[in-house]
Amino acid sequence: MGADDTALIALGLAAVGTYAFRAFPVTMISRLTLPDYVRTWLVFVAESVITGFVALFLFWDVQAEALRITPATLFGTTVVVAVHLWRDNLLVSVFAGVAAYWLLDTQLA
Amino acid sequence: MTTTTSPLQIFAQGLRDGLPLGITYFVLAWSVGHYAVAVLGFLPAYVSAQSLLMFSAQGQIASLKVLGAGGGVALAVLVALFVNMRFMLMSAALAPYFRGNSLGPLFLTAHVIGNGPFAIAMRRFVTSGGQVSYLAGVGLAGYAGYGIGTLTGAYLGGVLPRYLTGPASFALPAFLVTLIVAGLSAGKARMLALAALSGVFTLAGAATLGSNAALIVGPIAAATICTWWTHGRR
Repeated sequence: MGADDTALIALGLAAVGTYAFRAFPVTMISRLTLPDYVRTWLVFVAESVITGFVALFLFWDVQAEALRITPATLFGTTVVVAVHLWRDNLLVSVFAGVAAYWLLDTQLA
Repeated sequence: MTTTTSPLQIFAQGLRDGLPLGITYFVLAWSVGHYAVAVLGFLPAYVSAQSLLMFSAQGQIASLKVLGAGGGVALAVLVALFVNMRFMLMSAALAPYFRGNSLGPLFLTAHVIGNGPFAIAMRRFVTSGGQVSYLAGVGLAGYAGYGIGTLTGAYLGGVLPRYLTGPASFALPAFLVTLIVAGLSAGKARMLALAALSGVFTLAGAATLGSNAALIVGPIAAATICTWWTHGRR
């Protein structure tokens, strides 16, 4: 078996497994009647996954596996939150935050 | 007078709402495609196919690194699946919104469940109820951006200038932060506590277990504590 075959088999198995992770919970659990506390837990998990992902994206250096808090990230995040609370407009908030991040990132580079 | 909205209109709304996500994914995926071909040495066709079949930057890079270092099929697959386990949580969290829906469209749409589409769709479902066509629209926007971005990065190559990659790398978290803020506004103190716990647990988990495990353990721990706080004390 060559390197190409190895890569193709890995791709196929990983793709099928990943699809199963995505498809089976949503299809199977949607057939069930869940107790209140399980429904609450699922709602909380949904919110938590997003927050956890953002926390890692903003404050974790994947290469160094270490905490990384930069002034540009902090400033950009603060601007996104402030503008979103003020204007409640997704595009305006993201644009303002990215501009703030870019400004500080290029100034400090 | 009542107005009805067709699934096609809801799908179009999803596409519109997912457009910023698609643009962000395009820039991020460009870097993934370029990195996989230029640095890790894989064929552009392979990297592009992988993007379309897996739709997961983290899983893709993790698996490619193992294969590039001469690791076997089993290890590459296990690493990719471990990284992608977070999709199970997202998929399970979406399930209660699709009670009574046909399984066919759900099986088709499930492939586009990812961080961005999930976050956008959940925000809408909390107020409007589950709509498969909306998830499909948002997901397709992200999927198209990701797929075309990887393809372009893999075939055209070239590193995007820093003035573009820097802001682009911040666009996705900024986008998700707006969704978290919207959730906090709706859920007040309870959601604020949940967000804080999840952020702290995930970062603490990353320091002890690694970032991939943390993205599963942190949110589960935070959600379990807040569920106990909500139900267990009654």
